[in-house]
Amino acid sequence: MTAPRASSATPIAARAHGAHHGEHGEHAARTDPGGAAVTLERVTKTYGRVTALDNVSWTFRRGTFTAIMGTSGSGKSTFLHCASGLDRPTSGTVRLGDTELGTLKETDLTRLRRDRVGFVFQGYNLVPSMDVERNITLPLFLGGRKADRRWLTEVVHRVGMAERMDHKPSQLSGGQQQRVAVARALVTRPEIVFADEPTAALDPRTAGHVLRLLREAVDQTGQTVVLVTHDPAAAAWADTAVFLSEGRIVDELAAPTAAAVLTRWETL
Amino acid sequence: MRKGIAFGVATALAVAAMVLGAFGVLIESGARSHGRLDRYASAAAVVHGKQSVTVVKGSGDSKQSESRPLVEKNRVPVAQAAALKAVAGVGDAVADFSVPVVVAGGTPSTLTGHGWDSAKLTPATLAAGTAPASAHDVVLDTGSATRLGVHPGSEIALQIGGAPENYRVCGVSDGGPTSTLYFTQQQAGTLSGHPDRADALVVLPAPHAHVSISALKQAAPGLAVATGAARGDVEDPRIQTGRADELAMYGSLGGAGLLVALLVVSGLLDLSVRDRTRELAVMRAVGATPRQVRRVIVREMAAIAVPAAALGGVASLGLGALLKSVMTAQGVLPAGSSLSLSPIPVLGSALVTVAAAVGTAWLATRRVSKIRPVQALGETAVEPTRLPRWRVVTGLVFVVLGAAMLVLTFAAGGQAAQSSLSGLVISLMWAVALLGPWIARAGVRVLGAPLRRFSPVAGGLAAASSRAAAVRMAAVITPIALALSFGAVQLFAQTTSTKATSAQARDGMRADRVLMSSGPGIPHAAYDAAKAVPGVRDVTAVKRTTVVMPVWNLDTSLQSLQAQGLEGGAAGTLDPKVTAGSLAGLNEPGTVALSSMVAHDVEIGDTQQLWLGDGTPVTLKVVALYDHGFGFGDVLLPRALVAAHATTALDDYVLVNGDGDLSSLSERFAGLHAATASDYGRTLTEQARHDGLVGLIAVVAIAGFILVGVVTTLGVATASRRRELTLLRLVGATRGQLLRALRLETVIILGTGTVAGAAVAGLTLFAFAAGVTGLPMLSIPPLACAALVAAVAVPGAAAVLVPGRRILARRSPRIE
Repeated sequence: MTAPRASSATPIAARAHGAHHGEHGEHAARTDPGGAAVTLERVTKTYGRVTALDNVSWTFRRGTFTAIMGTSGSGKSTFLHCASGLDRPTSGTVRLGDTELGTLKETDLTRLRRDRVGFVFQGYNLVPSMDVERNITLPLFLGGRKADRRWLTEVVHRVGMAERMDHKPSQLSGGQQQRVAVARALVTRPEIVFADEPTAALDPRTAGHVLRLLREAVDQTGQTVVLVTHDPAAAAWADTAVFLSEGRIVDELAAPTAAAVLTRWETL
Repeated sequence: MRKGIAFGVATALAVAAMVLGAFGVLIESGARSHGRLDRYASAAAVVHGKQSVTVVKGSGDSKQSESRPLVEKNRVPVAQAAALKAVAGVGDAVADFSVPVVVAGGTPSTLTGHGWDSAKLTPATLAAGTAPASAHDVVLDTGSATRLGVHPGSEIALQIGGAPENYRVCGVSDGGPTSTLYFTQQQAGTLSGHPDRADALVVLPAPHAHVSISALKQAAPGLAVATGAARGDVEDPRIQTGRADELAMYGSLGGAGLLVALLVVSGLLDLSVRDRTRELAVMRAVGATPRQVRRVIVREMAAIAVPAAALGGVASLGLGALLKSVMTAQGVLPAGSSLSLSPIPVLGSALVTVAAAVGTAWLATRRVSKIRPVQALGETAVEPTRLPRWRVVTGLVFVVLGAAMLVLTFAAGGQAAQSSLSGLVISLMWAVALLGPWIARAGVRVLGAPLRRFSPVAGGLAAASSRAAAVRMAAVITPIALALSFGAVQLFAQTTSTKATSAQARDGMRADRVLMSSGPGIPHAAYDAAKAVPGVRDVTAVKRTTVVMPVWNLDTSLQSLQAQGLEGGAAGTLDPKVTAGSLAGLNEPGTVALSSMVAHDVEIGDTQQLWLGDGTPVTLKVVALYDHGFGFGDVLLPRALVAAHATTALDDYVLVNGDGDLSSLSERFAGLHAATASDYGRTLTEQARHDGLVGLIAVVAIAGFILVGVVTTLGVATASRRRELTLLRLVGATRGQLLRALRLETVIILGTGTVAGAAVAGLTLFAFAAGVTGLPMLSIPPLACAALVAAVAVPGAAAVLVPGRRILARRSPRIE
């Protein structure tokens, strides 16, 4: 496996790329380099008496790749759910760009997620009855939008699934399914992609492929990516690693390496 | 199994057990019901003629006996009484005659007349006056005497076999049954028209003596000896007469119920197993053998089925009692038929239901448990695209079978057509059940395109998920098609034959007026009197009865057929669409006319063997063949022949042509009135509708069960899609989009089910009309049709949308 840091472009380059990409149109404002893609302000989430998130504030800058690290039960899934609009915080605010999520109705929230947020899950979550192409274009279809053929072709080629567009998910390997899921997350040109343990079920080599796809999205198109993981090797692909413990952000590490993350991890 | 799904399965099983058990209750009650024992209550035994015709076919091991009940009294030679009296312990053997007697004057009332000997059977004693001594002496019971305002010495006008005659009240009896009148024993015999043959010989024991029943049987060779509750069947034969048909009908409806239960439950269980494929695959993967997986499922099913079936079985007593009381209240079952409740239907229906549930669960697990673990994990969510070969082959066999039945119905006509109908509908239903996935796919293809145009996103989602889940769709479409075809066939076959009856009666009725009676019947003297009225051209006396005849319906079987005895110018008053010969031939004795329904390979001049109403075998010459059996009965006979072998000699109708004044007749005969031909037709229609009511009530019970099946199946199908729906929510489908997609999918499901059901019902009804009643008689009231579809569609749609809403109600989608 190649060392992630050596092979990836610098965040600066990514930003430049992102700005270039922004000239395509509607995303110009959103991809404003360095602006906030998602902002959490004093977000608390409690389930009954259990506090999963405790007064967390954080800003995900555009065109960055952030890894959220933490042990099981540290609140990282809750953090992701709140940040992505899948769940509503008990208190505090979450903004996607300029949109305050707390004020949205469920249907508007769904539309917002569909059009402006991408998801990659550990369990792939492809629709079994649909072929690869249909799975990738599903968010566009649900939004009643036509696929931009050029962009679709590019995304499909990037994830390396061009030859398998008419396969059903059951005919694909885990790594292939996850690459389809990445393509699905990217196809809407979302403002931010949330990846929840996307490589937990994959072998290191395959995991590397998937993570490189995310890294490339950041570097080449200025995509903003948030990766939730407990794997130091995965976190090493990110620009920043954020450490969560007992529902709080306890530390952050810029330009993390696997070794540095592991050292920090052991003191959590 | 998930809780909601388990609840759905349990509900369906409980209702299945309840419906099956209810038929069990009806069958048991029918088998145990006897006529009410009243006058014969003190008898040790009642010797009577066999009330059935039995023929034995074949020989040796293939010997089969067929039996049909008789509707007219099979009488006993009075001379046999002497032999009975000689049996040890017998005090007396009374020849019992019963004659309907109409008291003329004022509002006519009907009493039952017996010989004075019959007074010995009851505790009746003379309260005043003397016993009847001469032919025109009568004794009345106190109640009737008071009501009529007569006392010993009064004169009273009684109409029995002719115009009213005057009788002298010689005494009043007390302590016996009401509405009773006694003649001298000899006069009772004379009035019955057959003094040498009594209705029954009632054996009274000598004081403190025991009568040996086997000795009685020896003393009455060729006769039947009734004891215990069966004595009531001789006194009041209505229940006994209808019993065989009643039991046969419950049996066939119960069988239909079982078939329906199997189809519904197997679809439901298939869904519930499918819902757990992932879990079962994991079990296989971690090392469970196919046997173990199967055992887990079967054990789980048993755990649900046993309590559900037991509950349903117990509830079946209530449903059975309810059905029975509704039928009795509607007059479809004779009054006095009793309800028998025992554990037999409870246990029986529960056992059958559990067996069906466990059996279908076992079949449903076969696919999963046979699969290799790796395959199992891969196949978890996607259905195999091809149907198993056995399913296709069996389904196609049923299609071919149905087609053969259809051809047969057209080619054979008559009774054969009628009996091939049930085969037709059952073949088609099985074909629909087995080839359901094909039907589902065709439905999606046809309905998918317009829905996509109508609503691109939701329609597209609906079509995509329906297409991908053809087997799941089929499990839902089958009960819908079943409910609709079953309901439609039963309902509209009934309306069609009612329409045929009234139309044929109307078309064939050539008489201007009809004499009808409000009492027990019309004395034959009224017919003679009508002929003498100036201005009257044709007069026909009609006496209805039921005969037993071997009829070819693919096989020759013994059947009870509606028959009419005709006397007079039948051709002028009736036209049952004679196709060969002439009804005038019936004026000769020993003749018969047959409808095309029962005449198979018969030509004019051939002989036809049949049993008259009292079981007397006769061989008659066929003088006419006709088409319209629905309005006139399938057999027409000379009236004299019918009357000689009927319980009473009274006529049912007298048909009159010509404008003579009939009022003199109404004045002369008590209870007689002239009606128009359309009044007569209405009576017939009412009767036909009434005859179909029994079936209809039972059908409602089965249709209700199918509906429960439809609702639970749809509900389970929707609940098992939690994962799929949640996933779509995660990918970005809004709640509204998914609900809309579910609604459109429901449109596809209900639409396809309705079309499939309508196709089965349509083919069957078409065959029924073409082969049996004649095509123009096909009657499908659009309103009833719409109501039927709505009755299935509304709860069906609710069953999808209610759980669908619940699944989608969660504010944020979660993936498990």
